[in-house]
Amino acid sequence: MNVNDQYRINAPNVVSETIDDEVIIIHLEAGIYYSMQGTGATIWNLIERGATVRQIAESLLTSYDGDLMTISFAIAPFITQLIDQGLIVAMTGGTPLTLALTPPAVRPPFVTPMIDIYKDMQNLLMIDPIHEVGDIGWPQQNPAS
Amino acid sequence: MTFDSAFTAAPSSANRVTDTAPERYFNAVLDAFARAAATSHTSERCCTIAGALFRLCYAGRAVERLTFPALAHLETGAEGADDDESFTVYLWDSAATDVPLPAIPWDFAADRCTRDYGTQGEIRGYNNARFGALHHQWYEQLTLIDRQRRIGIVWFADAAAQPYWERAFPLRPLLHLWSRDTDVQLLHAAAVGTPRGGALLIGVSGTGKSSTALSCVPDHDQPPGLRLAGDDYTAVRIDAAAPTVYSLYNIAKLNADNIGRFPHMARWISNPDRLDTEKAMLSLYDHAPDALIGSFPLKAILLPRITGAARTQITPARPFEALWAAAPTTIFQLIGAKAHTLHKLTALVRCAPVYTLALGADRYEIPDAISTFLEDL
Repeated sequence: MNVNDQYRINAPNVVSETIDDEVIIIHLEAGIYYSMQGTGATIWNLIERGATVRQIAESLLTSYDGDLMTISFAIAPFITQLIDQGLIVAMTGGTPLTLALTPPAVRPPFVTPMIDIYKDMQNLLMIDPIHEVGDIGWPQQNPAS
Repeated sequence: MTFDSAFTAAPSSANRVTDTAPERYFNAVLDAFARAAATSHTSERCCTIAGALFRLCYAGRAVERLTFPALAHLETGAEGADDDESFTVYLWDSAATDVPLPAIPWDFAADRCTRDYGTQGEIRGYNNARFGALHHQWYEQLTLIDRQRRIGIVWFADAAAQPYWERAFPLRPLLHLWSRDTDVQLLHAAAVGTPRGGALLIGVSGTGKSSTALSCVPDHDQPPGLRLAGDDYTAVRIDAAAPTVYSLYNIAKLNADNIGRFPHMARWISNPDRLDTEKAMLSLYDHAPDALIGSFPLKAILLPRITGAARTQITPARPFEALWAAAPTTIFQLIGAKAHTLHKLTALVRCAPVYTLALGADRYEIPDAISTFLEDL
């Protein structure tokens, strides 16, 4: 991972929404959904906006009470986890983000970003149908197609 | 528009797609429906669903028996069925009509999902701004929609062989496809209220959603306080100024081990001999029509929790908690338009205040607690 790397959300397989600093992410193909809060939500929103790894670190350093080494060491494994889960993919040629770094009035302590993973919806995906094929009306593939 | 003229109605120039494959197949299936209708029993029903008029045109009695009873409380007259805003659905099955589905043009294999299938049966290349296509291989169902002509088609290989729960919430794929470009969203939620306003009850199975809704159905002949718009699935119009909840289905489902809490409903169960493998199915329209309500203004979103405490309590919760309760289960139960659905649900949880409904053990107290709470909002 390079400090100038950029990533994008793996749309359309992945959709997400943020409400009040909490993020829900849904991997539609995998049937897995995720939640993030705090620093994880901040990183996710920065990735959505096209921030580089360097910009993510700078933004966290501005917004949270933590040292650069701790923050930098936390970002890489978190982004790697997002990649491994198929939630983000590397982006080349992305428009550089112009990031205004304004420290908040109170900087909360930096907490290692976490992602919670939920797999209880996977049984609703039709991965491989198991059924008896009926004689009447069961569609047959068009030989001409 | 007559029963037959829908088949020949020309699409307008607006929104025309360049790829003609979805339209060709849609028209082929529409022709097949016409053949089925020509040789089978036909019937028409009109329902107002989420504020829109739907004309349901059946070929064969089995499909009507499968899909209409749960919608019967929404039946209206045919006035307006010819309006441009009405939506016509053609429903048929091959077992009853002996008319097979036209050969499907996408890559299909009976024993597996090919690359043309999404993870829930959405057909790649056949879902676009105008058309929608969902093929459920397990249950041999095909749902097609042409948004431009405002026509849907629902086909079953054998309506009589569908899983029992189809009778409780039929046509969900079609209604979901129809709602995509509207401000209406189908929702995995129960709903109770009065004409003055009511609440959505959002939660996955086991949180007390259905039990809370059914606790509003009175035991005796007294008039209900809160009335029920749905015990498991509802529709909601997401209008920040006037969000509205709509009833979709009047058939409630109860786990067999929960029937004891509602002894007056035991005689309403339509499948008492199959409770070892099925949830109990109860037609509220047949047995307690006064307990139903067609729509109401949304005043609150309640997140039920079974607590074991004596009293029911309602306390503020975060909008994100409502989104978290509603989104995964709704998005993965409804096929297609998932990004739209998440976006709409996010708007929904900002439309009304969110509360945790900590359910007390006394089921008679629950409706009163909700009713009093809603009146005070």
